[in-house]
Amino acid sequence: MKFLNIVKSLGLLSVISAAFISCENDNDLGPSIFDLTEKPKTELDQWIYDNYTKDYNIAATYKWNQAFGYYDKTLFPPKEENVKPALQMVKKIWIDSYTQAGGEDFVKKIAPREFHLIGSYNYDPDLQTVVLGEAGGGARITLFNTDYVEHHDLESIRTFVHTIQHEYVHILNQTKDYDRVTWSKISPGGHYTNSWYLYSDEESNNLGFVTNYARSNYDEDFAETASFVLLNTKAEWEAFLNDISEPEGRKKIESKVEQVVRYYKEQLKIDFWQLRDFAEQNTDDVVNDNF
Amino acid sequence: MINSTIMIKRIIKISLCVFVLTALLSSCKSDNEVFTQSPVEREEARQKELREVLTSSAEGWKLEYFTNDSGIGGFSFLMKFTDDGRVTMISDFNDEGYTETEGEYEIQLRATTSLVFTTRNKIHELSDPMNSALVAGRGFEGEYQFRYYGHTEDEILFRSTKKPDNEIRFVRASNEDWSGFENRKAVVEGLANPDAPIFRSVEVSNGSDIKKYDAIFTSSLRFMSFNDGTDQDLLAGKKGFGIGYTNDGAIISPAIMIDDVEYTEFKWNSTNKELVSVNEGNTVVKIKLVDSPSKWSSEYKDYFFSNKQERLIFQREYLLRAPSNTEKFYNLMEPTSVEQFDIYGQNGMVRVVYFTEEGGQYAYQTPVTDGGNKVVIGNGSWQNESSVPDNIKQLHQGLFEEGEFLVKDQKYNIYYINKIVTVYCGGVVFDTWLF
Repeated sequence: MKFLNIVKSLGLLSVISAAFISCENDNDLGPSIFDLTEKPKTELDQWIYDNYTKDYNIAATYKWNQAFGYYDKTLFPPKEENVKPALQMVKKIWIDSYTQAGGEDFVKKIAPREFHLIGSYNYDPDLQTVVLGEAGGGARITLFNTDYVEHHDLESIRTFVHTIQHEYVHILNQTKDYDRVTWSKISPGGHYTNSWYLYSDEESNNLGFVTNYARSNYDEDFAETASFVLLNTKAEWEAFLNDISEPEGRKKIESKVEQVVRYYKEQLKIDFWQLRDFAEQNTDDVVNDNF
Repeated sequence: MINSTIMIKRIIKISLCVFVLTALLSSCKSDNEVFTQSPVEREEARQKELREVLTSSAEGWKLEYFTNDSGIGGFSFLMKFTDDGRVTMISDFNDEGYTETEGEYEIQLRATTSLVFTTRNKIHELSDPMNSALVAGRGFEGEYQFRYYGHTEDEILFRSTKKPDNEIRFVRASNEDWSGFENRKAVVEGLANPDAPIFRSVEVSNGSDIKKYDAIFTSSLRFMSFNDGTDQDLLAGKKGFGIGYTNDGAIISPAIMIDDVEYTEFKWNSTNKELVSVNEGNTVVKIKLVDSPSKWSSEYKDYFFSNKQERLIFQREYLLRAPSNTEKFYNLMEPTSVEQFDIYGQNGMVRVVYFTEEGGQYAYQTPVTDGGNKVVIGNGSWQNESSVPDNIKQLHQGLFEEGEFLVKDQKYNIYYINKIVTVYCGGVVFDTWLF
């Protein structure tokens, strides 16, 4: 037994000395063989650094980079002049609203680490659908159709901001989960489908979903429900509910919104309705050039 | 006996092994002499070389980009590169193309040293998923990331990233390339004129010997398709060729080869409205606008000059965007409320009946004569002329103002199994069903 301990200590000792030896060699490494000099920042890059990276630790990229994937897709990068307005809009409607409702540090603590802007639409010819945005692992949000955003046009703004409002709900969910058990009691599994795009929004409303896409799965349903409310004015939201012809569908949507409100209150300490009001005000500001 | 065979085999095997090993070792040894620099140094040198050659041309570079010459023509780009990563471009892709725009380029290490246009510029118009040529979502099949393969004094050679077989050639541009760029509009308007007949003829003449190849030009695709498809001997196995505009004419791809001589560059002759290519020898290749094809089917005799009444039907709901329809036809139909029109033919009489959304029904009847391969329209009249709205009269006038038309049976069907018959009347071309 004692002998075994000695062997063990010797072994440990040799591992430690080995570690030291390899450390010592590190000092011999010369300067990097790669050219690591940073390229001078353009005015746009500096603006991004000042407004996104410094304050929120979020990077925003817009230059085409094959490493970001989409190899088999036909897409194009945005025009330089469209990048800043798009990012200003996102900051105003998304970051500012959450900051007003959740406090100075809210977005600093929970945020995607990178925005990547694509100029073109992301069109899927097989499904004949357009993908507005994508979130990869909660770290990078890719926003498409940057070159088509018109900041005087409310619908255009909503289409663009929808992505970030939607994807941010996913990121919040990944940090603090929502009550899946209660959610699944409102809309059981059988109501969800991969062929959501074959159904109209109206049909989906009657089944208790805010949009047809909400029918893809629980997580998308939650994110769609929250972002749908955040994108519409109070009056529009009430009109939307009144237009649903199927009372059962309306009841389900209302129960889901109750769950969203509860989640924001209990998990994030945010008054969801207040957040919605801020988002509406900030969207108005964008439409009226005040951003 | 068996043992010695095994022995010999073993000796052979061992000698082979030794031989291979020696070969391997000696090849390793000479490796040291192939490259004197490390891979990183070589890549950096390569990037520097490309940057230098790109910025070395004061008037920039010219690109005639054929993205897929089996169905799409070429698009021209002129580009000037600056040392700090900026590139200015013009192109003839669309009207906006003629106005310069500036964007960014980078030289990146991808599969190999690559030139990447990193922010949107003219070249990205070929990659718009919402504006596709042949396949939905694929745009005009262009790319904006090119692999660098070397350069000469006046050319930089790249290959496309997604289609590595596709060579991309940047040619050193001149001041005239820029100053004369808009001259090509005369060629574009001449060749793609929507008011001109849709038929084209590729004529190969050598002295008095002239061979004619009937073709149709699709201006949106810049593609010339042979009427005989792949069954012609000018470009064996190809259904046609792409056209790219130049300041004073056009270039085509794939090249036409006659007696081992290549014909790719054409000059526009504005008087004769034709593209002409001459090379060594007496052979001349021309691309002409013609009123009717040299070879034509005779179906029209059955439809309009036989005892049996035939009926061609156009229905807006299904046929407004049929494949043969031209923009000119669409523009005539678009503002009207005509849902359907029928063309009846029998014994040299044609009767066209228009049906409107509001329930109106208006008929025009005219005698016709046989023009050899076409139908020549005589003096006709409206039935109950005072009741016919002006917009119906205008539509009729627009459709048949050439005074003659041709028809052709097609091999494709649209929605129903009825035979598709295309009607050609000058620049107005539309598909109908035969009932």
